[in-house]
Amino acid sequence: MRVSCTRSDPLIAISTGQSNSKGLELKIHPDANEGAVHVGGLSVPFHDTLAPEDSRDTVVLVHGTGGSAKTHFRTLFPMLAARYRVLALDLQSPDGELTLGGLSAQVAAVIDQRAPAQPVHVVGYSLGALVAADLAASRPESVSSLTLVAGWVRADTQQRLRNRIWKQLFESDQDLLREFVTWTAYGHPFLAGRGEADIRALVDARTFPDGIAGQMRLNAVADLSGRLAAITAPSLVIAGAHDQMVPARQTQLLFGGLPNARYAVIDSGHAVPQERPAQLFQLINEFVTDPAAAPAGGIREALFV
Amino acid sequence: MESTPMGYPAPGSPVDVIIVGTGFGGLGMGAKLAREGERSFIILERAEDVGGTWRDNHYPGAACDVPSLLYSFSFRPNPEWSRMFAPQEEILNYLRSVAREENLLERIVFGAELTDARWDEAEALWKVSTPKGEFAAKTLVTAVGHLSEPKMPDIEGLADFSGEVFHSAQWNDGIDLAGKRVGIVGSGATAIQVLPEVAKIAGEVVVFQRSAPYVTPRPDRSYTEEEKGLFRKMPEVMQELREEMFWSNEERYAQRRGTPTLVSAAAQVALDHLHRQIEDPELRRKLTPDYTFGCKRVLKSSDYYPTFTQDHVRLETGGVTRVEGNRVVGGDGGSHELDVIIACTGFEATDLPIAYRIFGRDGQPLSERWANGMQAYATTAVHGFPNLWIINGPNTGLGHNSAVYIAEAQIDYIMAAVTFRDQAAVPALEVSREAEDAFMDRVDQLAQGTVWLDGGCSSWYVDHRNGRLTTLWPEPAYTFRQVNAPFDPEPYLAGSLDEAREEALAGVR
Ligand SMILES: Cc1cc2nc3c(=O)[nH]c(=O)nc-3n(C[C@H](O)[C@H](O)[C@H](O)COP(=O)(O)OP(=O)(O)OC[C@H]3O[C@@H](n4cnc5c(N)ncnc54)[C@H](O)[C@@H]3O)c2cc1C
Repeated sequence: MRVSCTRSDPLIAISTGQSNSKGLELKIHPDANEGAVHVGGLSVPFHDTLAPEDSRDTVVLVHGTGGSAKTHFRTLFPMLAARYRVLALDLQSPDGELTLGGLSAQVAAVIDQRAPAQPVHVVGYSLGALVAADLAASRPESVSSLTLVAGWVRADTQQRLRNRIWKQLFESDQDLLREFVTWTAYGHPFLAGRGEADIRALVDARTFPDGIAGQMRLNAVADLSGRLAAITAPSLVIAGAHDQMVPARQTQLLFGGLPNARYAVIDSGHAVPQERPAQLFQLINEFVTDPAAAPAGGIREALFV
Repeated sequence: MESTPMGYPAPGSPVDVIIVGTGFGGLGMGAKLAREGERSFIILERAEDVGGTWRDNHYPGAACDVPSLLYSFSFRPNPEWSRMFAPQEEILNYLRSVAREENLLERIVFGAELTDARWDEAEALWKVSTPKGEFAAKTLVTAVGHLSEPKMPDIEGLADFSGEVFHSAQWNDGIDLAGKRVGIVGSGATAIQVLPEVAKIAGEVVVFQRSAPYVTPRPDRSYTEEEKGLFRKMPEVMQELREEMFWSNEERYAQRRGTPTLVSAAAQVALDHLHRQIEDPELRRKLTPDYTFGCKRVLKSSDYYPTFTQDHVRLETGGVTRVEGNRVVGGDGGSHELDVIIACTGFEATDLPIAYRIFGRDGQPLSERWANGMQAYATTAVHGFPNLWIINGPNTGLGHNSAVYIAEAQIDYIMAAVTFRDQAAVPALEVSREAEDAFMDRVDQLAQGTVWLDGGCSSWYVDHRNGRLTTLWPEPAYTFRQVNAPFDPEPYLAGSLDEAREEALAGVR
């Protein structure tokens, strides 16, 4: 994991050229092996830092709606990779209707092929949290710990209202949708702490990848009610205090339903991995190091600052 | 400020603790001791006022580059900061108010430079000499700063320069720079603050740069009256903002671990800033860094680059080779007649002068223990130096977050250590050599793969004597507190060292 820095280093070439990373796509991490696993007619890309003789625990990262390993975990992935083997995947959309079971089967297939030997620590964010919970319920033997970030159990009326606005804008005005999504994705303190140019950049950076409409439909109907009690893996539920997409109360219901869960809150909007990646890392790292260390049912206090 | 004789202990009557220095470190330690109220203590300060860094660095434009709500004591939030990044004078006044309101002034001996401190084994006391007399204490805490000894550049002929020369930390207020031809040597954290201010009054300014820094925008603004009112009435809002600033700085740590995606994105912010502010391609080229982002301190300024677009401001890129009379010759051959040279050349950070003045067991100088680079257990304790604690010594610097947070973690450790020692009724605590070495091995291990060791630039972060990262903490700031604030007596007691190592370092994972 060395960065050299002669002038001919591609890194510097990219930075000094104004074109950013066009043409030369950087890996999520220099140690990541990239490839794809085939499951149910889909090719599911993975990013895996496995190195020979690396016996460290494996952390599996499952992204959320409209995202990918790179867009949701660009900071979290390398922070975790300094201490664990990290395996992230890019969820794919089938031609037919998307289901939690179909998505968790993709995660299971990647785990089966890349890391079958030992149970893994699964971290799911947003829709990925629901996928991770589905996996932990259906394949308990694969999951040594479960971290659910900004997830929920079943969309409530506030979430469904937003979902409908999203759909109408998606069909009628995607520029306005970019603004709307930016407004709902980030917490007030995060947005208010930035200048207009930064906000513009956040809006412009929004993309609506293939399959996003199907993911949004799934967000409205996915339902973990009644399934959480069967999940025995030590769990950590993390909510964003300023989350407008998945209000903290909704995330707290995961904590309420999981029998072996701890709860932590981060002063963030829904975009926890973008707004507070370092604090998210701190919580995940401490939990994964010894999942049962903190008692189930407990609330993790924020660190002293 | 007057020395207050009240603080002088009677000759021959030792105090519990002597603190050296009245910067953030020394005042923070004093405040904790005073609040606890269990121990007698005095604070020795060589200057005539408190403030350390913020008393000495009063050059025009001086300000912090960690936001003030974070760059201040957790236990003394200040609703009055005028801006996000407060200017030097406000920070100095803040520290003065800490000294006053925490009742420290009567315990500070000003003009008392520690010239010699010796561990007296028989009496289990530190015996300290200063121009204001001799003092003795069970415990010695040094908080003399790691950026407090100005380093002058080693330039041929500089001593014979016919104009005026001074270091930025020893600003000569007696010299009026209006209309003068001024040379600024260096392009680091100080130079970028000094240049825009000096350029406003000087007739001509030449910056002698050796290596171009990465400069990112400085998101500074003043706080509104409503905000300040809110801070006064609901201090918890200051705490929320403080945490936001802290975690946002911690994110920048991830950039320093050499992940190309993050490093290049962060570098891009700096380079975009340069491109927005400088149009001339030649000037852009000269101001473009040639090393990996983050390997030297990343600077923040919104008015540094634009200064170079003024006609009377020039940039030399080869540093200074020599001085002849009133001419300063740059490494690229450019030669300039100047009236004043301002050395913005930083500080002696790896070979600390205080180490030559502290003598531990068997009279061993700390400088000798540290001849191949400094090291300390939990960043504060050194084998062979019982009851000595060092604040802001080895591995306490951060490239990305607040030094006050670090000092507070060390202060908590020292408070716990001293309390333990008194409760256990042992005369002295001395860390084992094994524990100290094991701690350093762990720090070395953590530093591997960071941009500071691999980034291919020379910086004060790395000690050239051993190639080790001796000044910086190579981890996120929050782990500094987790690893170094909790006190574990094991490494100070004989035996079971392996276990002790494990325990003390368990928090690193
Ligand atoms: C220009 C500048 C800007 C900075 N900005 C930031 C920033 O934005 N954020 C940040 O985190 N850090 C910043 N720093 C780093 C800064 O040094 C630390 O944040 C902090 O102020 C150090 O506090 P200290 O108490 O350890 O040392 P100092 O503030 O250096 O205080 C040491 C004191 O000890 C006294 N002393 C030294 N030797 C002796 C002796 N032998 N006997 C008696 N007294 C002695 C000195 O006179 C001084 O008063 C900056 C540094 C500089 C120089």
